[in-house]
Amino acid sequence: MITTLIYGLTCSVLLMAAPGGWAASETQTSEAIKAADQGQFHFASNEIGGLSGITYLGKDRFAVVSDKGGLLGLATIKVDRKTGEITRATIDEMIVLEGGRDIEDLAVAPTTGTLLTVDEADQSLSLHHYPTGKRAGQAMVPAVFRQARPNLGFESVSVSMGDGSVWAANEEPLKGDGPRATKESGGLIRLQRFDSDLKPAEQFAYLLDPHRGSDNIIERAQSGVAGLVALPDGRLLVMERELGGEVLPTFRIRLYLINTEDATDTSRIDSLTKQEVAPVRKQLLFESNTGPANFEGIALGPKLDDGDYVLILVSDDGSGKYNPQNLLSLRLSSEVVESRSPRSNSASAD
Amino acid sequence: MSQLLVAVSSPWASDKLAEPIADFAKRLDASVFVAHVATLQETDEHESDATQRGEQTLQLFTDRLKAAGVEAEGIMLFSDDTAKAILNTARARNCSLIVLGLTGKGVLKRLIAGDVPTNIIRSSEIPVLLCPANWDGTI
Repeated sequence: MITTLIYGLTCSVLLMAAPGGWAASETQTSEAIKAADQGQFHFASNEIGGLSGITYLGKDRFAVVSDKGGLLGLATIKVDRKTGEITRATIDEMIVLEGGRDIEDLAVAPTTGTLLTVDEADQSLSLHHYPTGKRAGQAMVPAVFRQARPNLGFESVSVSMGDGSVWAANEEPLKGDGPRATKESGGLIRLQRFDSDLKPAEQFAYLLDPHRGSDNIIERAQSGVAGLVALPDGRLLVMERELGGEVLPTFRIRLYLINTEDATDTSRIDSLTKQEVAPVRKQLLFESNTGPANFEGIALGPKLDDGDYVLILVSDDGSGKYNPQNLLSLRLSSEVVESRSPRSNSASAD
Repeated sequence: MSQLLVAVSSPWASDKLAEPIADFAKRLDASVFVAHVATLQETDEHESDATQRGEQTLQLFTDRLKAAGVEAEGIMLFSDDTAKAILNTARARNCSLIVLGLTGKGVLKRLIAGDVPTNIIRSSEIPVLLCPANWDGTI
């Protein structure tokens, strides 16, 4: 989570100076992921702020979560099925998730269809009933994640619709896994896979990109993983978010498709600094300077008429009281999503 | 206290099942989870309000159970595999019985939409109680 009051106010000033949202002037796209032409979109109202995670619930419905006390919003985000552009975004209902302190992301649990959340305050992976918000269980999380640096722990979770794999990741390196990213080098974080019953499975190291530097007047530069998208075939998109830049800082997001084939399983490795490990391989699919918009959440949304998919991103731009919560729509090529068969797609009730 | 899981799909179930289920739960001294499954996949326009209907169904059903003095909680599940979601939730909550209200769908509709009761019965180690669409009585 990267937010300060000063920075939030700065964002407000910048947003006022650039009505309609930040022009994606520094966007690099590939054939795999392209930004919709509309730029950034806003929720119609801003009663819920600090949006840190999002998941798709079918049709035009999404659930978003705020890291300010575990507030969940049921949202309608209408997407034009031809262009991929967002045409309407509203928060329809809000509930409080029991025990939520700093919930950073959510997904739908593969076997029960309940809501699955990650909490950065205690590195927990919990099930919550909707609409009561009651906590309905917790997964066993590998003990190594207790070494998370304050406010830099579990930041993202995603579930593959194909094989039911659940992926979660810490935002920046654990205390025992080496230093945080610098201008010269990136840090190592861990990507944890759980099986569909939420039992820990493989774990891989992921090398973050360096950041652009910290010579700005407001906040130190940072680089970390803010979001994950598990594709139906079990592969994973990783959203890196970086804060940096000279004088006035801006956020930059990068979307990588990862390959775990030759990576070391780090499940039994206490510290990534004590032995050499092979991190996952990364392929850059999208990069954009999002200005003051701090995109923290990402979800695979509906399928478009031409077979492509939509990725919906939400931003954590402070409390929501002063700043609109931004949305961004990206088009993910069907060739990426459907290039491999799912590992399994069992319809049995197991 | 034992727990029952009652899976409902439409407000019809609230009218039809709430009273006999409340009576049954009281005799067993059981609490009740009322579950509705909303599908994640794209569906036709006629289904566009299905999630909202599901929420209304949960609210109506749990309100009626609570009014009858039964401990009840409504839960919305999000899944494209209705049978799997119901069964796994019943397992996760240690429910001792699954109650299903049959909708009276014909063979063709079941082929298209999937036969949830059959899929549950085939996989379940938990007893399943089926309430026929034309049934009107007590358990």
